[in-house]
Amino acid sequence: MRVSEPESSIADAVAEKVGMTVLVRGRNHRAFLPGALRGALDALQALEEKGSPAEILVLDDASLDGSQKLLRSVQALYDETRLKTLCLGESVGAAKLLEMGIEAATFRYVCVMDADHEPVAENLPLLLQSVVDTGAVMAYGNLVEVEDGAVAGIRSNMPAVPGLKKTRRIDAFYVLDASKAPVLEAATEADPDGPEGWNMALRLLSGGELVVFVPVVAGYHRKHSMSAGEKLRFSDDGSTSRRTDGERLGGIPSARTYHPDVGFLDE
Amino acid sequence: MRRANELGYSYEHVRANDKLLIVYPQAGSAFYETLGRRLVTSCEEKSRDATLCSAAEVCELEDGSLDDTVVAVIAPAQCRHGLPDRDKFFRTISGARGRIMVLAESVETEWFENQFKVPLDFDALIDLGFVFQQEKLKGFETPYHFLFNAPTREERQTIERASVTGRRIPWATVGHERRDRVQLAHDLLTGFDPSGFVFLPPAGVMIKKENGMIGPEGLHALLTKTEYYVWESLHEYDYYESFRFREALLAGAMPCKVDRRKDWRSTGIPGIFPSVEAFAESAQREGFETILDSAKEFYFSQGLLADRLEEVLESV
Repeated sequence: MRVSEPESSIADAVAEKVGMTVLVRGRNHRAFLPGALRGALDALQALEEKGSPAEILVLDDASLDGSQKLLRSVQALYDETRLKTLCLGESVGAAKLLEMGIEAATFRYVCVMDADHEPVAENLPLLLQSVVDTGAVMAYGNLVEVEDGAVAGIRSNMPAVPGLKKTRRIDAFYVLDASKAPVLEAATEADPDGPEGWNMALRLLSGGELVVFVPVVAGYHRKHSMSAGEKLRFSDDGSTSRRTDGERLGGIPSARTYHPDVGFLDE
Repeated sequence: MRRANELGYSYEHVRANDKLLIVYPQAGSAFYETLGRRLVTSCEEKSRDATLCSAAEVCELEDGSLDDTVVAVIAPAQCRHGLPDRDKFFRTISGARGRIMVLAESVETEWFENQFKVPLDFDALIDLGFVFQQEKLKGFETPYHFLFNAPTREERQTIERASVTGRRIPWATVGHERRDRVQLAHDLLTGFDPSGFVFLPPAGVMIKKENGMIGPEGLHALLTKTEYYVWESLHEYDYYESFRFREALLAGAMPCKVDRRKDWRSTGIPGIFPSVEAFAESAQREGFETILDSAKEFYFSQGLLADRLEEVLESV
């Protein structure tokens, strides 16, 4: 069911502010925070050079590894109004962090990433342009996996095709149109199985919304023991429920492939 | 190539006035149909009677209808897929006056070997590409003929007219996912320009528009906005993907192969680099238009596909 007009007051507020909030979520990712923040700050500059105002919003989910101390230091050091940090005392989980982030975002478009991601700054404007051009609710690009400093693989590397197992590898690095907040809330309340990006794309596609894959390298994913992969992120009970492989989802359209300099490539 | 019959008399397999039926696999990549159309066009330019037909359409032909026809089958192993009547297909092709296999692939791959596991005897193999491969074929009995993948007359005109301006995408790499290709994308991003186009879906995913995949039209649209079309081979063998070269030039992009193992300089093919660093250094030193001009010059110097094909058919 397509939402033609935003319903929540939050959506009304953000709908008018075209720009991007880079939302960084983390829990016990201290080792990766510097890279994530550096990438986010570079992305800020790249977006502003393209004429899009931007901010960084870091949400820490009650980390116990010194992440919060680092974030407070960074906030103090930068004294940067475009950098906001929120450190929670109790863990709420990735889905709730997403909800909080969208609510707190200044801008209409939110780039969601985790602290073990590093954006390719030059390409975030392309993702933003893709959602603006197409009216998509979600856009994502390739994520190159890095392990011990070496290229280890690639994720989020094709349009999501409901029911096609090989396309499930869509990680939690994507751009959302927060003016569609009710749609997103419905999506985040849905079945948590599978990688977050895949789950989000699937729920949006099931609701008739447009999701686009933008064939650029959107960022890097630092592989480590805490990487969610196919696991439920930040799960306190350790559950790792998994979506049924090969589950057929007939009648649900796939995501589209789009690049701002070419248009839709799958026509 | 002439062969002797049981009585010792030599005869031609393909006569100038022979009907030629070019068969392509309808399932799988659109590349095969495109190749078929190019071969038909080339035959027509030389006033040869040639017709294009899908493998499925062959099943609709009457028995004996190919008695006076030489059939050129593109990728026969792929022709098997999706057929309404596989036995009818092979029976009909077997009844042709002559059979030629047409391939555009490395002769060292399992894919190539599989082409000869179909229940058909072929009188000749036409290897379409940029580099002669016969010396790699050990104990191979089917007569080998190399066909340089030259442009058709129309393609040459298209390449000459292609605009070099308005290309905002610095480089593009497209193909199935493979670790080397991910490394290539990373190296291009960090060593040349971060805003390249990367489309590396998992191996085995079918190219279907309903899957959001990029088909021939999408690839062409992409390459009209791109400067450098960069790739590494999907396999480990020494092979030059001439179809990528052609696709790039038709859209006004520069084809660039990165091959970290083999030295290709003796072939004279422009745009092959031992590393991304070498590619980046060349691109920055010479510039896009100069490098592209070298590729056009090389391609045009090879003549036209019609002339090349006629030479091959006269020798088959």
